Amino acid sequence: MIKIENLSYSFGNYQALDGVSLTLDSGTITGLVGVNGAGKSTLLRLMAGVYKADVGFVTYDGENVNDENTRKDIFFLPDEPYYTHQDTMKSIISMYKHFYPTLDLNTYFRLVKELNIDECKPLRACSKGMRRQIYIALAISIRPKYLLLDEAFDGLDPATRDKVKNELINMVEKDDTTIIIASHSLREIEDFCDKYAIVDGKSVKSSGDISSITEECCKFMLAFKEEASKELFVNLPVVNINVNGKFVTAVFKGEGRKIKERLIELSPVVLEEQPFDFEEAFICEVKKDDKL
Amino acid sequence: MTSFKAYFNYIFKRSSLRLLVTLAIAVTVTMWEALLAKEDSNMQTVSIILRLLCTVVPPLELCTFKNRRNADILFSLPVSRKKQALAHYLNGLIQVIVTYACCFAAVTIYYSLALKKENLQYYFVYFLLSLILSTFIYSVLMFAFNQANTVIDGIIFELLVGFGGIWVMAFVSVLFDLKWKLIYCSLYAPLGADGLFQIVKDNSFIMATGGVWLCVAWSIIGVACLVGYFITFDRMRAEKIGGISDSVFGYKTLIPIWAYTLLATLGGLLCVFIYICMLVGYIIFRRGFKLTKNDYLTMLCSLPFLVLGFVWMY
Repeated sequence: MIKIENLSYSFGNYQALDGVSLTLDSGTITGLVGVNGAGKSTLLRLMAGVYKADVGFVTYDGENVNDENTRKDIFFLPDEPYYTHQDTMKSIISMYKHFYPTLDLNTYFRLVKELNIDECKPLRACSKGMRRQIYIALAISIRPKYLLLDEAFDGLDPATRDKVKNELINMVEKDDTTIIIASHSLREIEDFCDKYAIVDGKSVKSSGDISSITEECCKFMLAFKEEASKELFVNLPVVNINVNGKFVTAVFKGEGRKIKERLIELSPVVLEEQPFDFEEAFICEVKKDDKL
Repeated sequence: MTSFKAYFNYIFKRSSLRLLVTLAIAVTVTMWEALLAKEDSNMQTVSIILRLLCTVVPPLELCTFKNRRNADILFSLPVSRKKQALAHYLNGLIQVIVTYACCFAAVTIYYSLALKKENLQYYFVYFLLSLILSTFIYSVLMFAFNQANTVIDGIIFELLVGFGGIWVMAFVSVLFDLKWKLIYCSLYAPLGADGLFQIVKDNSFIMATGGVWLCVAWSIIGVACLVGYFITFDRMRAEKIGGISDSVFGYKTLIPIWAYTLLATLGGLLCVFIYICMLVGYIIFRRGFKLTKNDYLTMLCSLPFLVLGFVWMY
């Protein structure tokens, strides 16, 4: 279990994170989402021990992240991974083999073969996507207990993405691995993760099951005979509303069936429930404080 | 395998080719010079190589930490920062010592066999003392380079510290010479041909004015820089890497120390040039023309030193 307690970090005068607390259960895949500059990558770096917290701490199964033995169980893949001008795939493996004895070369070469990577090519000559594939293959082969990924699927083609996702899910199922992934692709988070945490500038604004956040709200499209206005909905638990002449699209907090009954009382000409996905849930959460 | 051993093995293997290349070049240059000179040249070339090694090795060892992308991986590895700092320090020191020892051995063997020189025992005394001194110099330059957030700034810090001198040393020298005036004292000066080697050769080390006290001062500075290197490495803020080098021991201190000292000693003649250099220094520091209040204040505070320079001159 990962426990983040009252974590604060500042870049000079700018407070990037202020009192973040979050608990993540083992064997889960958590999507870390937030607007640009919300502090997702900063939080991941603090969780990986790259940054040392000003206040607060991160523990893995009760052990501090700054402890060397704890770090053996963690693998952090940043958005731009490390390589030098002369590095090849082999030299990168030799580096990680020094620090992660659990690195399984059979798994690594199997993945490399499946992903059609040229192992002799210097990393500088590889495309961004190829480099990412190499590092993801490395992360999977190390089989860490905790895997921290920053924009992991960025630059991967759809077929490779599916392969990688299956491998990661396999890790979670077989080894009870905990995966934390920061991403801007909310559709990906919804498909791949079972938990979410919305980082909002200074703290974790909301967290929980992805299924529950999408079930908490419902979305309706309405059309009226006359011009509509927001005042019509004042007695309803509106989360987000968009009025365009006679047409209204609104997101409400609550069970869809009950909300529909109340909307019928407004006598719309058309009333249609629409699918409510994680991306809309995220926008609603962020709009609460007019962050967008 | 312990995490330190694993990390040290990794960086040692990585730098082994560099060591071999450096060794080959250094020994070739040393022997070339010895063969041409055909006589005892006070180990001048070997001493220059030692000074060069002490300056070049710190950037080679620490440059990986001056790239933000590298810091993400290196600082998340299961090895503590203190151990990383120690591994790089020792690996660099090994490079310096091995290359220097090979050059020294080659020249000494040549002198004893080809030139039939006898009584070479003072060479060994010089070798041991120069190793101790170079370890201090290396420690000071590792500390200086580590204060920077980019490789370029690190090299500038090394040059400012190396050639600017350890100003505490200058004060110590001033005290023993009983001249109440700041004098130029290069970090490398004791390793020079007329420095340590001559003192050892003439057996005048103990008699040299303030020799013991100078050694004590060197030791204190070397040890202080070594401790400072470990502390600042451990506290390195990864997000600052690649950004402005705003360490207290960097431009913030080195620019005024240089400028004030030069103004106090040469100010009367070169004050305009020194002020231009000071301004350029701050522009390099801030990476632009937008200087801060503190920068202007530091420049303003130089005026008493300018006056002092004029007073001493006339």
